[in-house]
Amino acid sequence: MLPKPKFKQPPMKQAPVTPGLTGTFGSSIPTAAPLTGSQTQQYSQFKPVFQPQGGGYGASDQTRSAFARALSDSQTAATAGDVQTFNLENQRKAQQARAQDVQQQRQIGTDRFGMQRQTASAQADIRNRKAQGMADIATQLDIAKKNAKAQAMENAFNFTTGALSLFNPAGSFRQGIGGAQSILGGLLGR
Amino acid sequence: MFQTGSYTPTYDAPIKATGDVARRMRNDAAGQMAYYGDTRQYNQGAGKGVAAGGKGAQFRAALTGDIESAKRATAANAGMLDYLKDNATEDLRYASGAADERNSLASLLLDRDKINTDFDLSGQKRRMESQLSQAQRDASQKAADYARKAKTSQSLLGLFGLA
Repeated sequence: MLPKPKFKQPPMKQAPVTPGLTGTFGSSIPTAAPLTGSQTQQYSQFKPVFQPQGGGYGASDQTRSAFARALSDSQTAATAGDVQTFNLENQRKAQQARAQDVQQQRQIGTDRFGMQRQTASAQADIRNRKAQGMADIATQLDIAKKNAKAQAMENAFNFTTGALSLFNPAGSFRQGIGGAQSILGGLLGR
Repeated sequence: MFQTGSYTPTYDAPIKATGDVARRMRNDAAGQMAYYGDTRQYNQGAGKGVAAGGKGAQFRAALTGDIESAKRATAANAGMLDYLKDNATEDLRYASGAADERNSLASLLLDRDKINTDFDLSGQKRRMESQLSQAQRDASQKAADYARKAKTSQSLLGLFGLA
């Protein structure tokens, strides 16, 4: 059974709005300083090793006390500096890894978006080709039908004129196609 | 093609030291802090001659003791800080590795979807071609029917000399 085309023209549906890349890419890689200030303080500071005792012989040993405090301060500063250097280096690496992570997500998102668009385009091509093909077939069939109709009308006209000629004294019915004598004319002997 | 769970990430958690060793080392170093300092301070006979056992030697010994003590204090803190740094580095390594794995899996899933999509599109195209061919055959058949009917009636009229 010949399927009837549902449309004469290929479907020109409104193209879907391009969703685009919404920019919702995120990364779980933190870029904050890994060692907090409290941790740094806890593990970099310590009291001066020499604590002057109250009273007695060493109570007024200010020189040694100052030396010990300087020693403690320099160690504290060195440790804090070391922690800061580590934090900064770690944050730089984290920032780089985070950017790489987001970039990979964007790349994959773009590729997926391209695939979706390509699929939509291919499906539109298929629909269009089917619609065009069906329209072509419908046109061909319509032409064949009209030709047959025209032929039928011509036949009917010929039948009418031929039948009328039976009553024509000239007796033109004796001549068939191409001027040859027709069977009916031959039978009637006219 | 793949079994269920083939795309499950394998990164589960960062691998960290418990910190027991670091804490023990810190306690040991803190204990040595006082010991080294005190021991050095009691060794006051380092000098010779009139300076032996004098106040200068005692003071120098005390300062050296303070330095030794500070070294242990620094070592005690450094051990804990190294432990914290290692954990922080591991956190970053884990987060970065897990993100890489997630993205690799997403890329694989995209490849899988592309394969499936191409397969489906190919099927849709074949189905459309088949439907068009069938429609073309039906239409040819019908057109031939029309032509035959017209030809038959014409032939009949011709037979009777009416055409």
